Amino acid sequence: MAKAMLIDTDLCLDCNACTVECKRNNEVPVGQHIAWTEMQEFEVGTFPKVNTYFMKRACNHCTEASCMNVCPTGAISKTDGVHVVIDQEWCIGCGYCTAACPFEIPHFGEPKGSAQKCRFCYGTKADDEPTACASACPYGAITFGERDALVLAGRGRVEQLRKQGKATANLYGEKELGGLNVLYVLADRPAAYGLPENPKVATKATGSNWLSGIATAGALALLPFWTLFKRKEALAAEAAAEKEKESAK
Amino acid sequence: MNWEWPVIVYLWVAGLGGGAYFVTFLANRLSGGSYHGAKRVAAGLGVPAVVLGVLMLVIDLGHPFRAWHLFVRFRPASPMSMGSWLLFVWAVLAAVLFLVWWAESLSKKQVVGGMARIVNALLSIKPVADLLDWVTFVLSILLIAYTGVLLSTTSEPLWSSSVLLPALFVSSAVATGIAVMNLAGALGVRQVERSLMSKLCKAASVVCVFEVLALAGLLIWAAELSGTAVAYAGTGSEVAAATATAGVTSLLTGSLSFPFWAGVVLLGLLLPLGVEMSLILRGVESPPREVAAILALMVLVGGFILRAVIVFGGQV
Repeated sequence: MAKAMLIDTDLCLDCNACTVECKRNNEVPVGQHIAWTEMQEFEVGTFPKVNTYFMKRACNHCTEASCMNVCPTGAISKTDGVHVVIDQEWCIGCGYCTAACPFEIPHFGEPKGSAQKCRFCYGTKADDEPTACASACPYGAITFGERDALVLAGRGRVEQLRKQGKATANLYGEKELGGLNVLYVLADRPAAYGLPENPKVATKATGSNWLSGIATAGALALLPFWTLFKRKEALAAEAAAEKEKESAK
Repeated sequence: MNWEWPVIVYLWVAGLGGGAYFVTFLANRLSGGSYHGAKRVAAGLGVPAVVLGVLMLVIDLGHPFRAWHLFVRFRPASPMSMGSWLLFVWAVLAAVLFLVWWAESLSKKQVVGGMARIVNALLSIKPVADLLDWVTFVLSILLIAYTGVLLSTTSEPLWSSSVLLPALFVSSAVATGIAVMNLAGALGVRQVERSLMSKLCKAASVVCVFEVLALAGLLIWAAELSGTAVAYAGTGSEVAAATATAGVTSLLTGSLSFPFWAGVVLLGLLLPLGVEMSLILRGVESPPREVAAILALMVLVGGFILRAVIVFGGQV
């Protein structure tokens, strides 16, 4: 059974052990603006009621993965049926996944090359072995395990946080995009952590988008083209026929 | 910033190339074949333009030499996969049709020696040229729609919060397609006849109205959806709120406001619309060449700036 992760943002102290271990374990190039996981800080509120939240950003391995849907070459796939992996040898570097991802995760280095993102340590760790970031965290903020168990643990932590007075605490990723395989315990609303509140699959409206374009072309074919070219020609033909009649008389 | 100038140029040329074919096909078919020569001009200008745009896209890839990976699998859910196939087939068919029509136009005297064999081979395709013409027309519609679908099937709020981007890009593609034909005619390409130019000038005004409506709808819709995020900005993260509204505000009042208002709205839409309307109202049947050329240039430049501000605005 493929595993998931639970990130408890309330336990995170922004030490960056996870980002360093991720680079080391996965041999992610240094100094090329590539980060398969990175830390973000969010300052929230107005003085004197301010807060700083730490957010470990990486691929969330969505069940309904927008990047995989839009990839034109099929370079993005779920190798084990759960975790989203970009085939570095097949990716052409078009950048569609970076525009489609609701979390703006896939990115490019310098030089551009193939799109980059977390692959849940595919190829560097065994399936049931904790990911690099999870094994590196000294505070127990990253839990590796079965998704169902993590959901229960996450709900428990949210309950705890609410009892501590954090009324907006919530578990992110349980339902979003068919369920994320990286879940977050948040002490505040998702937007405070730079997460979209209602993420949508990028390809949800692909059909309507095509329809919109085709319908517009159809409408334009009628007005102005049909009215201008067809009607006028018909009128001209009528006029010519009438003239002929008159001249025949 | 992920997509920049190469993508903008490509969206523009794919629009005007496909648009020119769309426009001349309809003009010719609806009028019972009066403008056959204009189609050759549309294909002759459109194919090189689109091929050039595609080359720019390929150079912009992280791995340009892997571009052939696009043609190994067929992925209907991915607009870019569909678009790649569309572009490929469209360019091949339009190029073949251009050559057939060119061979048709040659007089017997011009064809000598080895050329005769090539011309005869091209003329042997003639029986199916009509069918190919129809197929290329349908592909032209899909091609100009694709430029919008590509952007709207993403998670960038400005592009994806409504389905109006394809409508906007299709109207703009048809407008720039008309402009290409009129510019060619004004510069003395005789296959673009005066009667065609005067009708296209009239058509342009209606297309322009479509464009204005689609653009207004797109911006209102995107701003409306961003409203919820704005409401939260006071209490929560400025970052999340910024991504949702930034696109619309950057166009209306922010860093892109000058190219948007001066380039897109004034130069590309309102000025040409005003001139076209005044020509119609004053009963000018056939606008002077200079006027047609200036109108066409305004629409072409405006169409380019439109794609630039939409592409940049979506990634703010």
